[in-house]
Amino acid sequence: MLTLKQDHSELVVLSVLAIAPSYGYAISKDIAARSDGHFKLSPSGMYPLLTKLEKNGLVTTGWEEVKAVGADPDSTGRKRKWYTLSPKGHKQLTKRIELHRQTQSILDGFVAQSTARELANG
Amino acid sequence: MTKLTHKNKIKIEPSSRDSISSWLDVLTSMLAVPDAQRAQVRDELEDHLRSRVDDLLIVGKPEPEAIQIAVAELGETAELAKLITHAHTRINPRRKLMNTALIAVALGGMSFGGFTFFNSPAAPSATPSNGGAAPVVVPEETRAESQQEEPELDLYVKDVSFLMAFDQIANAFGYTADVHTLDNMIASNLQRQQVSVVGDFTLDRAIEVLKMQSLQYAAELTTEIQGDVIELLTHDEVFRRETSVKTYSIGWSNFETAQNVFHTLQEVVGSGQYSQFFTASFIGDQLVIDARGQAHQQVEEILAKAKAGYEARMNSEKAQRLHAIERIRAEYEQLKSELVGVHSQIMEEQSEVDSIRQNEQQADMESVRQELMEREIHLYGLNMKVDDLELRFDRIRELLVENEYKDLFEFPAVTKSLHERTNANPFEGIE
Repeated sequence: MLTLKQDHSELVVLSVLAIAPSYGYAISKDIAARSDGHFKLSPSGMYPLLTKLEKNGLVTTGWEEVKAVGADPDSTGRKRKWYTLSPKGHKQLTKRIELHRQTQSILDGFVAQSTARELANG
Repeated sequence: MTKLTHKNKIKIEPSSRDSISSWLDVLTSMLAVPDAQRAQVRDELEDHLRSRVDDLLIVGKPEPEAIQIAVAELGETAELAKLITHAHTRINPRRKLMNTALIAVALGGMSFGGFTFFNSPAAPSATPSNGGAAPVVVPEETRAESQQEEPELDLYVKDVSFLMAFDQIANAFGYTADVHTLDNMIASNLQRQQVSVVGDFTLDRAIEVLKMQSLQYAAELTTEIQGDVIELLTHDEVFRRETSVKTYSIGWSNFETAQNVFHTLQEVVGSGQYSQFFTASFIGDQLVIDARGQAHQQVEEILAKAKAGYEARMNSEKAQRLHAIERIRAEYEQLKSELVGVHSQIMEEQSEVDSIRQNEQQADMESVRQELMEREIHLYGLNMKVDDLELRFDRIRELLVENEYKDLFEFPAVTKSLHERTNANPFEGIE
């Protein structure tokens, strides 16, 4: 299990929200599921990050009332905060992806050179 | 700044489903945020915990254990409260600048070697809520105010020299710092000046904070971005870079006017608001001026006024000349008429004299001689009058030439007369 660093967290959360609007717990489950359990974004990392994204206008938010299955229809349910990627968030995600690809490409170069040397040394 | 001490770190051991509410009570009590935000944080975390507990119950965990796991996953309560508080109290750059300006004013009278800016809690703000209905997306337009295109970075630049802080901030935003244009004294002062920039800042705001901390030395410095280099410049250097050389044609003026214009420019612009880096040269019918943009604007305005004034004066002088020419032409016509009359009298007198001489033998010699003498005297007088008129005509011609009434040549009748008078007998053609 890898704990996500802040830079990666933002890329991952924005990527999750780019597919569909979501809420905190679902986002954390989605990250774990899509990384086959390799990535974990802890609540103490995720909620401050979501707040930051909201304050920076990268996401917009809304509230939904959620009721347990079989609950009294007149009772008050709990509130769920939904996050939707904003146009600014989409732009930010595009930038992040580009940056990630550049970094990846550079790292790949190093790895390829090292691999070749290791192979040459037998 | 919100401070969380060790004694705030409370570990909750929930023993029942209600313990979620108890844990949320403790957490929210630690949040240093406005009530409206505190309620929203509570609602969101409650949804998280109960969703997690539901999932754990589905996979067969007993409820107390499910709650314990769910709460434990949220981590250290106080740490979580601190992180959430920090995230909520991030203030937008505009408000941040206002706050830092207030701090700077408050500290303005103090003697200090270095101090740090921290974020302070923002004022309560209304957060959209539909009271528990379906998800609502806040319209983009209403958020435009809070959306800043400029990236905001988390900076930790503490107790270093101004120049070092400038370098670090530039690097953080992907620029290379360039301070080579600063003079030695300023650079030396900035090297000694200790500053700190801690918190989330845009490039502009970080530099503003730096400048506000550094007393008088850097307050007047300015930055300029060229590609991926951010330069720190003095006002002098900025002014020097704003200068450009332009040539202005003053061909519309005569030499005297051009000189006056040149001196006016030197007096008004050369010693005025934009006098710094102003030089002017006067070459032929061109003014060559090396100055800042605003000075060039002043030069253009002055030249436009001078040209308008010059043309008005020229038009006025032209009107006066035309009037003078009219007067001279009238005098010329009168002289011409007089000359024609005198010439006619001379012809008559000469005819009379010739006639008397032919009859000289037949007539009384004494009376004829007497009449002849009288006639010759009259003829002499007429010739004298012709000479006098001729002199006056010459004076008028010279008057015209001496005063350079060039516009005279626009009037063919006068021109023709002058031409004839200059090159041939002025009376030729006069009958």
